[in-house]
Amino acid sequence: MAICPAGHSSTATDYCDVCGARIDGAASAPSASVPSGSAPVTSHLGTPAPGTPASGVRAAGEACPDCGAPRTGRFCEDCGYDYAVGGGRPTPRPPEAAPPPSAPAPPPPPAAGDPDEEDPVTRDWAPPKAPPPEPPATDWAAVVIADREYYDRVVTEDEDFTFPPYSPSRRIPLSGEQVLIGRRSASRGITPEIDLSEPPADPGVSHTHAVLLAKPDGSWTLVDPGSTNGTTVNEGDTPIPVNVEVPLRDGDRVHVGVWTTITLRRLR
Amino acid sequence: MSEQPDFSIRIDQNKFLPQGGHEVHAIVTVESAGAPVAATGTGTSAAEVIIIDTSGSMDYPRNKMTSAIKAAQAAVDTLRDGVNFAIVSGSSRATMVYPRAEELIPADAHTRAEAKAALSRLTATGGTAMGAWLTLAGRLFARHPDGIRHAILLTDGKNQHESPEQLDAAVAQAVGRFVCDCRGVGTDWEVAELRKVASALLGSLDMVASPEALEADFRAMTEAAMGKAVADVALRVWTPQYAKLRFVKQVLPSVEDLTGRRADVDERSGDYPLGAWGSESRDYHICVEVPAGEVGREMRAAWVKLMLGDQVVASGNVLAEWTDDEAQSTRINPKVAHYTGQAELAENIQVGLQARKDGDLDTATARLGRAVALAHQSGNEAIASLLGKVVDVDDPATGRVRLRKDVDKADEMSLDTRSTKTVRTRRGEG
Ligand SMILES: [Zn+2]
Ligand SMILES: [Zn+2]
Repeated sequence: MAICPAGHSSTATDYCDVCGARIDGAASAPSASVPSGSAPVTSHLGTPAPGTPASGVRAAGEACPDCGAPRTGRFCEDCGYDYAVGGGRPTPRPPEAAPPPSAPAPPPPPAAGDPDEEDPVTRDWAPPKAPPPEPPATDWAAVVIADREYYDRVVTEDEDFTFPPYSPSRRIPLSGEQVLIGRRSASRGITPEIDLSEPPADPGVSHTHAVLLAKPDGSWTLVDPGSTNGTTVNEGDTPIPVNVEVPLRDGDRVHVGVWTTITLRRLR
Repeated sequence: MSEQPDFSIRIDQNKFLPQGGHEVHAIVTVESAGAPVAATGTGTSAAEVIIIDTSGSMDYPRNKMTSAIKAAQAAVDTLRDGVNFAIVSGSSRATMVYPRAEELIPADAHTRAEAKAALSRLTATGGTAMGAWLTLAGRLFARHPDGIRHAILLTDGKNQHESPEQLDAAVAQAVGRFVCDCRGVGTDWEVAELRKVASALLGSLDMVASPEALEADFRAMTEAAMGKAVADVALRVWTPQYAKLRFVKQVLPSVEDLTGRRADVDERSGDYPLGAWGSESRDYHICVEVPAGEVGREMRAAWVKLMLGDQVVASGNVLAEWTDDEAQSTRINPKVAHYTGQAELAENIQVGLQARKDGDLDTATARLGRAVALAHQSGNEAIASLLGKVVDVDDPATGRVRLRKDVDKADEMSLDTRSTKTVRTRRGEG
């Protein structure tokens, strides 16, 4: 045990455990390295100094941690702070920010990513020919795919829908006031712009399944007028309400039938 | 622990401060020597999870997916026998590719072959939710809490199908559970977003501009992970009463601010996790503010220890001594100066590129010009050459530059990604 010039008792005999001051008689430390294997929690580079209480020849010039007055001796002349014991009146500790937790955190809740959980469907790619980024939202396209993830999520094992082995994606430019999503019917005179009776025909889509409506500001909304199996958006579980306009943004995904995902793309 | 390498700590600093001076800077070099475990085939256990982005965009162009598969297969070949591993496919959710069950499996000839076959069947569909991928990886590593835990995450896109908060939460959960090297392929991913993941998980970040280059990169990352000899090394920094530890930054091989990662040990010490360690050397810049002392007085401004669990495997002293000899106190340690410049270089590049994106061309020109000058002075040739693709350099010494109009997105991203990569001091300087 050594006593530092400020009067702290220190296990380390070279520099004070508390204030870091070099202990009288200790040699200045090299900025040294300790070889592996030896594990000195304390260093023994110097000889213990005799117990010199702090009356601060070396320590003068220090500022009082409590009031900032220059140090003249063991006690602060202004506030009586005791340099030897670090007190005299409550000494403020340097504020320590709450540390982030270090060691392994507890196991995460079985949330996102659980394979047993439902299977969100998305498509994150822009068309191969990347459109120029700039101007207003006037030109849109719908990219139609047979979406395995969506299929896996909504189709149960006892249902007899086979996911199409070959299904190229289709890209349909959006134009006019409205774009119908559905299945073509000659007898009823229904010719949807996004016709899901084209192979691979999606068996879960109604003739008039949903409608995309052009808005004056150049955006599009989605309406399900009452399809048999409903319409979901962006991996949602709950079908959108019937006859309610749902605003769509670039990249939003509309799911219909048993495997169809339609991604809206703004081209420029 | 008999396989543990020999660690050493070296401190470079000028300990002399002028009267009234209170800011102490030092470069701490942590180095290890000794045979990595891979060479001996014994010792520390290791776990590896390879996460491959299989979002729909990986098919555009198609060679992204095929190259990623080849790269992951090369990584699997690099795993030494007995390493516990798994392959995860990432889209809007995370899925086990191999093994099928949610667990790690020891590598041997048979499991490696099965894993490679499973990889060859991967297809690209769906979105990007990296938080879910990291969460699954975290669960896989949870059963292997000891030893090296390393993941590779490859993505080609933005984290579109999760909120930033979801990703942040997943990253926070993963901190300390495994080290994760992150790679972006193509030009549709977000540098800042992936940097956040790599940085929090103590991994490297790089951009692989051409899919064909993935294979060599994956092999190198896996080899490096296999070469780690100890997991979970920490730098413990003690500072005296009334001192303030202003920052702790890794400055080699890349700039990484560790200040916020502190875990308090006691009133005066805190641990900064450094991840796994092999046969390598890293430099750290620490800055401590101490109460000004009297001329002639010397103190320990920081006591730096390398911790392996509770064991101190190396230590070094950062000192402060007050002097009235100006020749002593005004000398700047060349290593401190060098790394201060490297950190400034990284910052100027990042700020400059952001300003350029925001259309603030004056700031962009000034910052990137300053970066050119810093790269030139410090001999950081790699960064200097990347900068040359974004600006036309009139005078590298003063940093007089003009912004280029026709900048390739890949060049810009690659400069951003590598902005934090540093070089050692030039011979004779440090
Ligand atoms: Zn003391
Ligand atoms: Zn006082």
